[in-house]
Amino acid sequence: MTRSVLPGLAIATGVLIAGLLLAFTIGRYPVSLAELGNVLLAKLSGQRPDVPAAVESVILQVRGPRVLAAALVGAALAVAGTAFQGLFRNPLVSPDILGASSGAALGAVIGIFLSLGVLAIQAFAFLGGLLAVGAVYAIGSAVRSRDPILVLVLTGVVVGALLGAGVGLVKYLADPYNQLPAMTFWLLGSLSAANVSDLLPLFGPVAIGTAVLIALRWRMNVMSLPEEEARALGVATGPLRIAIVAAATLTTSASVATAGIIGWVGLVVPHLARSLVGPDFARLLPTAAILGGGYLLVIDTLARTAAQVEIPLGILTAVVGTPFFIWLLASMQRNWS
Amino acid sequence: MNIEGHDLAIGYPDHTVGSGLDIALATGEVLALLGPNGGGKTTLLKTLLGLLKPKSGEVRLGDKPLVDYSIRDRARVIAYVPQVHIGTFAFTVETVVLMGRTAHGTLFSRPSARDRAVALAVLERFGIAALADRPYTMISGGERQLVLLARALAQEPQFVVLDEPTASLDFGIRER
Repeated sequence: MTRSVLPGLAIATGVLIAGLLLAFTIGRYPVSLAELGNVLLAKLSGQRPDVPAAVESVILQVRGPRVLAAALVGAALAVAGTAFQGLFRNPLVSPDILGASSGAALGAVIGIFLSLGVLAIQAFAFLGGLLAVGAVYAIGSAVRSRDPILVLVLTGVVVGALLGAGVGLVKYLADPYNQLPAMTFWLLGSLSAANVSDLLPLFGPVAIGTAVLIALRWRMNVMSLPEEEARALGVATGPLRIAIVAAATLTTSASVATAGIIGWVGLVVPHLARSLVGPDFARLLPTAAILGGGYLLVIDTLARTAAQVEIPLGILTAVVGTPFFIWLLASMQRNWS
Repeated sequence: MNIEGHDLAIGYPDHTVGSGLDIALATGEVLALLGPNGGGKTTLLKTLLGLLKPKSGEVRLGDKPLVDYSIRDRARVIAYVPQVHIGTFAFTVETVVLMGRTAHGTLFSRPSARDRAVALAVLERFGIAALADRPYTMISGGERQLVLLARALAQEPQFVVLDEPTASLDFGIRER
């Protein structure tokens, strides 16, 4: 590797730390670094913090859960995007390529349409994502083809379009005063409702999916070669593809269930991480996870503070992601390092 | 060890490319297949590699049918040098050659120190050790061909199957 590894990972970690500090301190109720340090140290050592109660409550109750959720969701989307880009040998792929987001969207709007509680809506979204990808995979494997990857991607596009039509139908039928705004809000992505009870259902699937992908890091390198070559090198591509898709879908569905649909993170962050540490998944996956967490923290802080009202995350990630991606296309040409 | 094809019919689900083929090779023998484009050379090679099921007949490797080998065990006996491609991601030359060691590791393992030593030795044998840290996407077509050959030898197989092996090599290297 001509690029050395440590600076890349150090830069990603720096972004994460900067994101954490920004997210904790900036906001309608500004908190100084000293107060933040005081509260966190006191919390760790089990003493009473030496700051006003309002500051402690802002840090621990209001911003804490949201900060952790943002870091987890960003990491999850970045890891899933990294995995899918390698698996499909295509740097333009994002985590929703196989319908995870559209399935989750349909699950969530159905949950809202049925006036279910927040937890039930999240469960519907999570299951919707898993079911959609499962269906895409089953259909894609049933179609006999010399190019299973292409069939899988096309099936994902088609099923995604069908699910999108389903979302449209539910929105059309929904009560325009209560349900429709909730659906629109959810579909644009937001962490404003994140609280402590969201963290475990988010952390569990994200940690499991990421651990599986990191364990398979070397095989994922080989999987990014053409199918027949990977098999000739001794990799059972069929079962391994199922494992990678399942792990990446788990992390995507969990993050979509918590934060709604946030595009672009899973597309942009893997590129950034690859330019920092190169394409070897052993370094790429951890770097993408750390960088993704930092990236979404910065975006979420912007979403909270840039305007009088909260800006939906999906809109901000698109506004930041689109020009970035065009720049990427122009500057990298055919070399996707 | 022998690799044998008995009364093979080869091709794809929708059309047959060749039939009634018998072929036998022992380790150390060299066999060159010559023929016009579209004649089925690659199809036959992929059938012998187990990447394509024969439409009838059987491929045997050593004392048992090829289909009885796991993908991993098969890769420890037969290596494949495909036609040169550019590749999607900019892996280093060393990483590409190390991928040849995959079948010698387990599902979750990374290349070991021994794997690295084998890869380096093969790179040196081909005189391309200086390329080890270069991205595979940034070297010439002929160099890529050598890297894919090196990867196949790093696999430490009994047989190497080469598809259009000299297409992008210059005459000096072909002679070697």
